[in-house]
Amino acid sequence: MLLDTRHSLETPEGASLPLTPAGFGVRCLAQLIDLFIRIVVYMIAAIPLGFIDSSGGLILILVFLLEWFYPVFFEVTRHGRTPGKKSMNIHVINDDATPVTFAPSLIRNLLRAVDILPVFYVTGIIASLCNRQFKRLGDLAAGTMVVYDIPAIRDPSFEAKGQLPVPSDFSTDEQRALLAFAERSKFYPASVKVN
Amino acid sequence: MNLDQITIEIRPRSAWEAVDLGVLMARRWWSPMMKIWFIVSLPFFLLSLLFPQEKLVWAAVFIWWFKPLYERPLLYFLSHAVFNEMPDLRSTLKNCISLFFKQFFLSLTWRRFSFSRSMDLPVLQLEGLTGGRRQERLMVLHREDSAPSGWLHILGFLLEIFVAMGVMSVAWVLVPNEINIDWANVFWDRNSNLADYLLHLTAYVAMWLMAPFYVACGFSLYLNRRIKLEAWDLDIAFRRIVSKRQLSQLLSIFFVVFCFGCVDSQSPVYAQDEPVYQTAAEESAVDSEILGEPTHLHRESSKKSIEDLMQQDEFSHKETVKRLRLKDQDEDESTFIRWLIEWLDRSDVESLGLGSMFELLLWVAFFVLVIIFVYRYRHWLSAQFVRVGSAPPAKEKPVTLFGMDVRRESLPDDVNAAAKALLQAGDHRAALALLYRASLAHLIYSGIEIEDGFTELECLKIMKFDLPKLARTKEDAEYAESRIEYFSLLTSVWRRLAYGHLLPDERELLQLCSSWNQCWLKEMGAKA
Repeated sequence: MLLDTRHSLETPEGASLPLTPAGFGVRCLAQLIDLFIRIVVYMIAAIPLGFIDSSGGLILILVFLLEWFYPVFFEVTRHGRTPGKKSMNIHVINDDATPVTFAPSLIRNLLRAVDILPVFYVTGIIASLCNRQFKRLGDLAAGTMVVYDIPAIRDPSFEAKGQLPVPSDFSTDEQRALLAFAERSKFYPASVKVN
Repeated sequence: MNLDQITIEIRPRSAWEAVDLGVLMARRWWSPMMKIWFIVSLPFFLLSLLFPQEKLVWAAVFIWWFKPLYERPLLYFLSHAVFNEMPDLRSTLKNCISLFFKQFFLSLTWRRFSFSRSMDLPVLQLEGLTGGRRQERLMVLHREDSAPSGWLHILGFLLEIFVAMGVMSVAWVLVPNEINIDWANVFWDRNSNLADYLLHLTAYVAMWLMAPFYVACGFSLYLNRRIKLEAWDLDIAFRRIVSKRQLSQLLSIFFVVFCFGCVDSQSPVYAQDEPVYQTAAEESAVDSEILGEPTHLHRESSKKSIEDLMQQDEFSHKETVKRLRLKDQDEDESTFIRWLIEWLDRSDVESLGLGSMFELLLWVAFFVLVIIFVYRYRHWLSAQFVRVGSAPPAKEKPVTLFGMDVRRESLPDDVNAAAKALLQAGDHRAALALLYRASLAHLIYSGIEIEDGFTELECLKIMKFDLPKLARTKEDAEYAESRIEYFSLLTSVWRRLAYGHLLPDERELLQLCSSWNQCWLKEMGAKA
């Protein structure tokens, strides 16, 4: 079997949905962006709170809410995309490719506490290296996975002009290959040597 | 390079997806890569142990510094494994020495700090480019989709540190409390032997664990760039198109040969001198021979085989459904009632289980609820389901017609006498008006729908039409007849007098006046 990052999930209707799980690298960056956003929020919130006497409790409540529910909130309301994930073009879905709902999102984010052990998500990263869908423990428990966004299909644009019509017995994949060649041929030198 | 033998799916990927493919590659060839890295780096580790103990930090740096060298055999292995020619350990190690000395000096000095080392290594090692050409090639490769190589470097470095810390903390967690170890001394006391060597070892293990992923991800990024630059996916697709067409040509040749063979074998039939004519009987015999018996056999055997087939798990779908249903549904009404009477007769209701008591209570509650519901919403229900045509509003009987009071109460008791008195007083007009008014009042009273605004002729027409309908008996019909006659005469006389100012004949008038009572006062049958 060929090694591939893409899986196809077959629906009961017989259609196959291509899903591309995202690995730890891109997810680490997304997590760093989210962390950065949270830090900025803390800093902004700390300025007015600093004028209130004994505002430590308020800050702790803010930290509690943001650390635990920031990802849940965005995943549920923004189709599985926290700002960090969105900027890295990934999102969370259920295992059956439906948008992630509240309960799975809550589970996977509560189990961050386990994945983050002992430091820097080492447990989560090792777990994600042990399965093909790159699931950390939270994903395994909640039945979710993180996949790449499917880029929008562009209209075909090419200058190549063929002399003959495409033979009628070309299958869809073969026609797609021709189309891709026509689109990409302008990036290739006149003669590509593939050895 | 043989693209037909490749063991990864070739398609243009996004940069990060390529990194993920690298992870998958490292996962697949995990154990050989671990072995190779261990064997190659072990001499360096042993060498590092020769460092004096207080300089053991430098020993770790020493191992770290030579990392590019251990990565080369890994890349050698991967680059072959991807094309399905897995080299064995021996041949890999044999190649090690020559691999080590490729641009040895540059790689270990200022290129050592390059963040894109993992992605650049294949250019040096597989393409064998040096100097300016290598620079150009790298520029082309880094034009797109190479950002992850730097991140990979940083993340890999962080992970090495954190994995080392993880290993230590796992050790710390797993050692039971009873063994009293002064951890602060173990790790941070400069005089302790154990701590330094433990740190050194964990750092080495961390590097070891991360190396296959780092190399594989870098190689995958490099491959992805080449797939895009050289259109490997299109290459493979076009090759497939060509080979399929060739195969189909081959098949068509086979087909032609096969057909010719058939024709050859059949040709003697045409060459026979005498054509064979079959009689109808013979034909039918042949038919039955061909069609009859085999189908008989087929039906039996096929039915059986179908049944066998349907018994298999793939076709037989069994599921257990639990559903509430009334007991003994097929019992008819009378037995149900008998059962109910029997049940009610039984004095020992207490012997019933609590469950059935509750069931009974629930049913009672249900029916009470239904009754309450029906009663509460009876208006709504009747409005929804029972469409009773509401009685048409009773038409008001007109009070005045042609400016005359046509209420029955306004009439004198004896119309004949009153009319005659008026006539004798010389007021013909008033006498006729009285007669006409009295007639109309009677018509309206007997149910003829004369409306306000009708003309005299319309009144006549409608009474002519409706009055016979009201008759129940033969007698009534005669009354109706006489009234119609009277009213038509009266109407014509009245119209002539009222509008034409033509005085009617004295005798005619007298007759009208005297016959009114006789004609109108008789009640018509049941119609009161």
